[in-house]
Amino acid sequence: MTGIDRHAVDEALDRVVDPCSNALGEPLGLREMGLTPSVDIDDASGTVTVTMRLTSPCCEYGPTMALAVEQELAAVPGVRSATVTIDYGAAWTPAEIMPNASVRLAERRSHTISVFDVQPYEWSTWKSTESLQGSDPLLTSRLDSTGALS
Amino acid sequence: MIDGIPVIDGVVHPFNLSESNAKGAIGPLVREGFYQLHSHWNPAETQAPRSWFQADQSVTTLMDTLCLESAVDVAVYHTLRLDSLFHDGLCSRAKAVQLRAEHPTRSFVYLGLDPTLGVARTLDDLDEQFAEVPDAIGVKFYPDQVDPYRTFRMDDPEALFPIYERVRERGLKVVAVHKALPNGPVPLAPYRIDDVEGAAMAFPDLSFEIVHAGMAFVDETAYALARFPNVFANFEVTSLLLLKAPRLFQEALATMLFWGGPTKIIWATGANFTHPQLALEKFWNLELDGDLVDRYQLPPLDRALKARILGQNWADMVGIDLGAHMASIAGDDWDRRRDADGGLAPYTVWADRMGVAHLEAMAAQETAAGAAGFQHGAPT
Repeated sequence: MTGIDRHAVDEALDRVVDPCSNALGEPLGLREMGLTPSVDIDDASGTVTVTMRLTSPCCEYGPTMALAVEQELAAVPGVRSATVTIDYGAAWTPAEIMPNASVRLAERRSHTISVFDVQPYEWSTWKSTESLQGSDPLLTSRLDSTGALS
Repeated sequence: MIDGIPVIDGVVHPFNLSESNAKGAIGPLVREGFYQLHSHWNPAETQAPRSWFQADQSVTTLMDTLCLESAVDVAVYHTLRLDSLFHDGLCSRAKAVQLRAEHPTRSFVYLGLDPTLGVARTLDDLDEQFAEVPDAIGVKFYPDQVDPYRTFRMDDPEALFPIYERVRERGLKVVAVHKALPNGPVPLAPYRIDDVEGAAMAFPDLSFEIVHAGMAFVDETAYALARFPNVFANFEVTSLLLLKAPRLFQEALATMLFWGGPTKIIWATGANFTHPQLALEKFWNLELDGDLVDRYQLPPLDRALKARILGQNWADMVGIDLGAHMASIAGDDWDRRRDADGGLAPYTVWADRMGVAHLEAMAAQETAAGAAGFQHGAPT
């Protein structure tokens, strides 16, 4: 019996692209995005079971991505059955992106920052209460030192 | 007010989620999706029962919920033009008129426009709605419609700039656009935010509000906040991450504060999408995790910074004198009722009108779902 090649499974997972990264012009596969935290391969039965998470709890593309993953996995040699479920409660943050993919995304964004000369806010100029009050003289007269209305 | 700080909910929605209002093939799916999101994002104590939620929600009940059950002082209503999904667009023009007529000191209104109808029809529509609500303060767009699918770019000089010019002529201050969260299985590109930048550049005297900022394209939105003084991030639904994925909320907030600073983020919950109080309390008590403070070198989320996000930023964006406005509503009927009741529990008002206690209705729903073999929140 020939086992299911894990590398082929990984490639299949990455052939399905995260829509948001694609929209940014830096398409990342679901595995690279850290959206497939659980992948179980059963060589004996030829079954692959994947649990997905989403970048946002209300991502509308979840079911579409899950179907696409099942189709890609079904084409992997040795796979007789592929099942993908979505764990809508699973947390994801950008820290879940695989390091190489994260670098690619960061490079894309660095390019944007340099081309458009984006500068972060100068927080050293922020004096919280003064800044709040300074924007509105009438409000200023009614605020205490913590920003609360008197 | 929360602990003495004025609170403006930057988007509220008395939805018409009645079955008869859903339209076409996708409308019923979106109607169901709204309830699924509501029931999965909120803990049981702040969920509305399905039968209440998937109905034509009333303006009166929502305002009572906001002003008697939460610390919200002023609500911003967006007329919605999801015309290809819901017969009345989901939050109707009529409700905008009612809101301004019945609650003029506690509400502001954005008119709802659908630029996919073309310039001439959109301008006529704007003028009709403006005649109904002459003190409206902004307009709201959705980036696409379905059946047939059609979309637009915010920076299209032919299709959109004449609309912005009319917005300006009418004295409206802000153009809000739904972004980041696609309405069903539609192309994602119109939900990117890059087209807002071109519009903001061409119309520096208008403000542009990215609604649902932080749900996707977080860095790109943050760059836009940094680059354009007239681009703002509206946290409708994003604020619910505080309930479901608080670290994700912190990451989005920290990124936008780092790039955009303290004046560009606008608090909103989208109530009745959620009850307005719980996320507000979570935000009020929020401190950024130490690693985010270190990474972004941000100051503490103190009262003044939260006061900006919770109300001052929206007021500044549209040119409202918040101090004067708060003074004008101090001691009004809402204030007296909230003081007298001491702040009602979530959905007390709605329950009174439905004639059944909130948690009793939720328990009955659970029981019915269990008997039918459904999981909570599943379609009936």
